[in-house]
Amino acid sequence: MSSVNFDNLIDKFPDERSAIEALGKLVSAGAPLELTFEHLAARVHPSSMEVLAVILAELTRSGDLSRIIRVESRDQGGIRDFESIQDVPERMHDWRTDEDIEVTPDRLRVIYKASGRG
Amino acid sequence: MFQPRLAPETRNLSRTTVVSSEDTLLHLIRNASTIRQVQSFLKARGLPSSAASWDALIDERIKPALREGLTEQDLLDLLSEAEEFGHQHIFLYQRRGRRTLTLPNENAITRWLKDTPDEELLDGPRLLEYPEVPTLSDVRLDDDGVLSLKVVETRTIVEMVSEHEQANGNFLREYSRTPIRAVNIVRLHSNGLLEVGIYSHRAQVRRYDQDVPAMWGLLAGLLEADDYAEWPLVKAKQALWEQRAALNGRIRFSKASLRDTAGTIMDCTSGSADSNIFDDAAAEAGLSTFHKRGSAYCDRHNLWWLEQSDGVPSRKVHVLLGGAPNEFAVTMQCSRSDYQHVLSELRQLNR
Repeated sequence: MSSVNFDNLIDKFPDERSAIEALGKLVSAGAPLELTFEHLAARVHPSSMEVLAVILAELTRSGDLSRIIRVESRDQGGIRDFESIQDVPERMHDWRTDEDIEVTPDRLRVIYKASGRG
Repeated sequence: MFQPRLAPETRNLSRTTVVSSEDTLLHLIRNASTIRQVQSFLKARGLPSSAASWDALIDERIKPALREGLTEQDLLDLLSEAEEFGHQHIFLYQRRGRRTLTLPNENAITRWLKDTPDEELLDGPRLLEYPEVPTLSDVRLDDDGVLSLKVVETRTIVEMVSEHEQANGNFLREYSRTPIRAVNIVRLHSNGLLEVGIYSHRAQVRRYDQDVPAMWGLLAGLLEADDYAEWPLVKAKQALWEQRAALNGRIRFSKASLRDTAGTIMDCTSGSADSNIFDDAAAEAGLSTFHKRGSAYCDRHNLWWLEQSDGVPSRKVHVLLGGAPNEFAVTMQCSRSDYQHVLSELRQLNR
């Protein structure tokens, strides 16, 4: 993970300095992380959610974070992870409840992951 | 729709025409099993098994093998292996009156079937694809002393195909009906343990215990519901909780649901499909505190029995422990030996 990426982000989004610094600490903490967008927002307190989304997209492009699309069960928990929305099928089997489901938008969760290698 | 409890002579009043051709048997095997499973079956018999597709497997491996020693009974055994383990919600019962335990033997089975429409089952199984009503397709005593009864039924999945707007502002929806062949299986062990397995209703949320009375109806005269008591898995659920650390590496917990004496429910679910909730220290601490301070019991588990280096089980087996107190589900197809391993462990945990 490169601190240059975070410094560049601060230059681009000076209003979000504290959020970006908090993100940097989170990512470099050493433990693997798996967070939804909302969870990240709750941890880093951005002044703009839209800007946070742009920041996360840049960190995903730079490899500091990875992003997966998780299809979740009505019983909670992920059924399967996909790399992009295009890979998500229209129907699949929910092994958590043993039923076949239509994958509707409410079942999709964007998850940001950090490997924790610092 | 299941029929109500019937006297033996009125059982199975009608069914689709039985077809016993080689092609039908191969068709049923193809629908019930996987290429890998069939290849393992052929390899175990020292037969060529490589194939890039089902058509190649059937035309270039199985059919030639049938002309060189592979028998129809071998394929029937393969079909049993493929469709009788997994994709089911199983209800456990124990025969009442252990001291006077008498289980149906071959004579009892013969008396039950003789002079009924099912009498032909004395000579071997029926191959049924889409019977009109739930129909007994096999009754057999296996080498290990287990009495197995198979009931095949046709279910229908209804799916929306299209939606059309009407000029008057209304809209029309078109639905398709797709038949699904469901295999329900009942197994009676020599120690009096009875399994009643209901094929998964994948297309709808459902209480599976509602299907059990109809199975008793089909088996009336041979197995009577009053002779069997439900065997609840309460002890197994608690034992899994208590031994969760020791079971690490053998069982993966995807969800645990605890209830305390105040009626509060605490659910803990893994985020990803491959995670164990008890590898999360925070989840472990939270559930432990709730369990201890709330005098909680473990109500439900969502588990994976993980494949082991000794091949037992040979692949991971997904198990749901929930629903009725005596109910567990094996949601994916698995081999006979893997299913027996899971059942054996559940029985041990439930003592």
